Amino acid sequence: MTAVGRAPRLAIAGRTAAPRGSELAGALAVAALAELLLVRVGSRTAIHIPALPALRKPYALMTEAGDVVLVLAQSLAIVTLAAAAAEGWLRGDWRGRAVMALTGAFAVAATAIRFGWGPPGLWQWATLATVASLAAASAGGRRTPALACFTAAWLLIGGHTAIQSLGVAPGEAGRWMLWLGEAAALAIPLAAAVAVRPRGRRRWFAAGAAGVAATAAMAGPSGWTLRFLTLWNLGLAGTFPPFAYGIAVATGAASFAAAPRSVWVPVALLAASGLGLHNTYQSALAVAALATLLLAQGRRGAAQ
Amino acid sequence: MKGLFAAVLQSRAWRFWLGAAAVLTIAALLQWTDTEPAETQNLTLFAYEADRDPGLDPGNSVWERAQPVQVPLSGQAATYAAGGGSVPVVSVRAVHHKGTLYLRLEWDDPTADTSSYRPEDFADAAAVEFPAQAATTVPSFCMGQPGAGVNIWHWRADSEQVLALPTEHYSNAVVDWYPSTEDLFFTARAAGNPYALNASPVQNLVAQAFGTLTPAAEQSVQGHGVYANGKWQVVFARPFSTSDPELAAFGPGTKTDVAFAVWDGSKGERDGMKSVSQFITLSISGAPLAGGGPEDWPWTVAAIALFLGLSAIGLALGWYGYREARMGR
Amino acid sequence: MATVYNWHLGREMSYPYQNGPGGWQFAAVFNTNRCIACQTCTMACKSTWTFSPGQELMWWNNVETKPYGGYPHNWDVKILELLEKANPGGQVWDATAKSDDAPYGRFEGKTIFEAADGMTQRALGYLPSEEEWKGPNNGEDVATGWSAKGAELPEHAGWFFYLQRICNHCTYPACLAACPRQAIYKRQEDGIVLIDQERCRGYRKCVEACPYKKAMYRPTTRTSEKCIACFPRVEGSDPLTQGEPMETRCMATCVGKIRLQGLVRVDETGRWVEDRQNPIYYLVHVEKVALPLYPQFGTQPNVYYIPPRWVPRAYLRQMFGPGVDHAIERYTNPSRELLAVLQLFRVTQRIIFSYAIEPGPKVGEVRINGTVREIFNDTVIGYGRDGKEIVRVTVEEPIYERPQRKTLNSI
Ligand code: SF4
Ligand code: SF4
Ligand code: SF4
Repeated sequence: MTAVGRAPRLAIAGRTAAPRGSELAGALAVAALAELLLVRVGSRTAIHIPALPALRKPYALMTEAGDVVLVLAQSLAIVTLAAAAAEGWLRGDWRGRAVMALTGAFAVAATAIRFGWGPPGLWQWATLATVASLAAASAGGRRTPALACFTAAWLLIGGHTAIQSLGVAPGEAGRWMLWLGEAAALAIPLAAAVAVRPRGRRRWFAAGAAGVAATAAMAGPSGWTLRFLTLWNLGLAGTFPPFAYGIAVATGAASFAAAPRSVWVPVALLAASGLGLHNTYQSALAVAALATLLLAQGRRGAAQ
Repeated sequence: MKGLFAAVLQSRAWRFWLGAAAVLTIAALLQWTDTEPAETQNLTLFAYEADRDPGLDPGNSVWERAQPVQVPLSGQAATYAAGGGSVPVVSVRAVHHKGTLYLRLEWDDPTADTSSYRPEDFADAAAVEFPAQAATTVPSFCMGQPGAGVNIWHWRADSEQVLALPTEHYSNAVVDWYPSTEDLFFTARAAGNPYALNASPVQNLVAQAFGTLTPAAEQSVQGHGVYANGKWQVVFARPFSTSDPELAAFGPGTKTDVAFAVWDGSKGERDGMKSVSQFITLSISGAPLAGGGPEDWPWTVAAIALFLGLSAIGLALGWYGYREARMGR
Repeated sequence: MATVYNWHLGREMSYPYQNGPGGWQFAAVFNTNRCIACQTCTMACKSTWTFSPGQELMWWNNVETKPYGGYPHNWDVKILELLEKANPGGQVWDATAKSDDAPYGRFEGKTIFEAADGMTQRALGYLPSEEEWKGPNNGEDVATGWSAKGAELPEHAGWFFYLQRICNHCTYPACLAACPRQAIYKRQEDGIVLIDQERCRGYRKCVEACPYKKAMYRPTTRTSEKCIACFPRVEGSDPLTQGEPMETRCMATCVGKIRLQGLVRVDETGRWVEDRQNPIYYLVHVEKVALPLYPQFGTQPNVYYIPPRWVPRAYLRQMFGPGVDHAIERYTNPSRELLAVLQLFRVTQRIIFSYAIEPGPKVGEVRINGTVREIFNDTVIGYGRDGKEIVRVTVEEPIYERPQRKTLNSI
């Protein structure tokens, strides 16, 4: 990253811009991952474990820490979205305007859902479209296949929820939506690997090990718990054979390590948001991720 | 104004302090006012008021008018690619009638495991889980705090069967004489165990985080399951109101979270070995059950328009970006 | 998972729960050499506790013929196989690492708790099918072969022996560890392990986990039941003894006089508190003549067996651990004190908490393994919980002459 902070003052009025949002987004990613670990994995799983008296105290500590982290993450999400919109407004280019318009649309939808204005189905569709539009706008070049897979997975899994809000019984097609959505989700890391072409024997070795471990974990007795967690946190029902998840983890890890640092934060945010519709906080994470990605892209273009 | 704003944002230190102040202020506000800024946005199951009592028969025609919601369940034990029916979704309907909430679950299961008679036999089962009344303000993604209990309605197929004596269960069994057949000699029955008493096909249970499942004092949930054509159909029913704060409470115009679980007995599933869903939203409406969907058509049109409009922006932007990249800016 | 000390294994092991505060523990010694497989114990238990509908296949006490018998069928072979698969070639003992804390040495392999995945099972095990619970005495009296040249110690060419089994009221019960409902509990006052019949939901995780297969499923109540160690008798609530602890039904009825049951004091680490004059403590810890059944399972079971003298040692070592050779040696040529204590088996229904020996005159000599042994007619006295004498017997059984009766049908 160039030393943007020291950029001449005059330059900003135009199209060059500093990575303003990305610092906040980074903080949000850290908070969201901590929340994912403490609240959505820790507390949620723990309630299903039969009482082990020895675990009571750490459990209480964990939920308390989780509460704090959740409030922080939610506040950060609000500020990050506001900052992204502001940055978009300041930049004034088409990417900036898109970020401003779409984060604004999401803010309206999230507020409407929170206060129960209109039927939730309406806002679910708005959220779906916002995320899909942001993803489409961030496309371009080699990242397109990965983003296309992401958009497809998001629309299929989220759409399964949203069409039912309109009173459509999805029937057999619904199962296909879930299945295809999960297939698309598992294809994301593959597409990412094609895009960044991770190199280096050691990197692939480590990624392979992670993949084997993931396969074993999914195939083993803990696979049930992992499947619950993939459903609750990623929106994936876990219907594929274990090795599919192993391959996804391996290619995902390898491409993450090889990817430019600018996408680490968005990818972390997307991992914390999961696919499909869960709640407005998780959707906000996805919106923040894609807005950051879109803004960073413009910035890099401008720097060239 | 724009310039000033930009100048402030341009300074690293300013940005940091501004951002930190904003985050902390919002966090403090949320904490002190006990505000939950986020809201669940997942599947919503609507329960409208039925003009007729659907009863406990899953085949009652009232159910045909209720809109089913397909809830994804997490994948099942059959992970070794050996195939065999997993339960990927449970289809749920809800209605209410005269202050009683009715839920109807339907899922595919190739075998009807209705007996738990042999030591190796486990019965099919299903459960519905609500946050306890006292915990209804907790949003679904926070489920599982200490003190935030859950209320579980648990149906098990074997409880639909009569509890037969071995001489009745095995046609060739011969027993000269059972000296005593009072409840005392069925120890669990004498101890008041609901399964041993075969009291009801559905048990009303409560659980606290890290606590264990315990039957609730109030056993007010009724239910009945029917197996046909490779599907289980199970109806649960309970009056809206309850005085027990550990139990879920309902009413027209209220919302609550609800999750589902399904067990396949022939796969040895019992207890924690099950297929579960996430929490979805159950919205109980005071409106009468019509034939159609839960949303009025203008809303549907609005939703589609909104989606198409916003998606069009996205597509246009994507195309613009693509062209930009092609032109090698 | 907590770390607990298992003195049978001479090492710490992991177990889902911490030790309790210590207290009393139900324990028994079974002398396999004397059992005649009359099944009186089995019927005593059945006619007391398991004669009702749904308990037909339930035998809380059973006596099976080894090596072919087993209730449920092949229970021990199946669990040994599961353990071997989980830890191929690793289920071995280091018998040189002996100490007071590790009387049999150190077990280097995996216990059922350590071999389990912890997610689907807290203890490695399997759920026997209904078929396997039938025919509880299959293989009865079947020997491994014909001793063509006659049988001779130390090892018979063709052999079998009787194994008497009840729930071991384990110090680290696998049934209790496995119950997701926490419906199983171990009582502090006597270490008896019970299933709460109100909380049990018939998941049968205990049936799956108990390596001795002593938790059983009852279809007519949809719950699991198990041996309750005749707790009303052990508590002393049976009117017969007026509040004094009494031995269980299966113990008290034993025709072969093979069983002695008591209560031993344990500390908060699961070790026995030294109590030299307690006959069970003496047999297990001082003479080390009685050994736990399959100690390698890791539950620290509380029924101790004097191993049969004529059985190939490799088989016995697998079943009772590396203490077998010492135990057989002690039993074959018992010390003067051991000979006296062995007389306490089945002379009273009350639980003997301590004993004392009054020396008696020399009454004979026997030749054992080439050396001459003197036999003394000592008197052994058993005392109850309150320290009062409850029984007194001599090594030489007294001879009573019955006065002649003149009635026709007298026997
Ligand atoms: S009563 Fe005694 S001798 Fe008879 S089978 Fe039982 S343990 Fe053996
Ligand atoms: S023998 Fe089995 S049933 Fe008895 S306490 Fe030990 S593990 Fe539990
Ligand atoms: S101790 Fe009592 S309950 Fe247990 S096997 Fe013996 S007689 Fe049966």
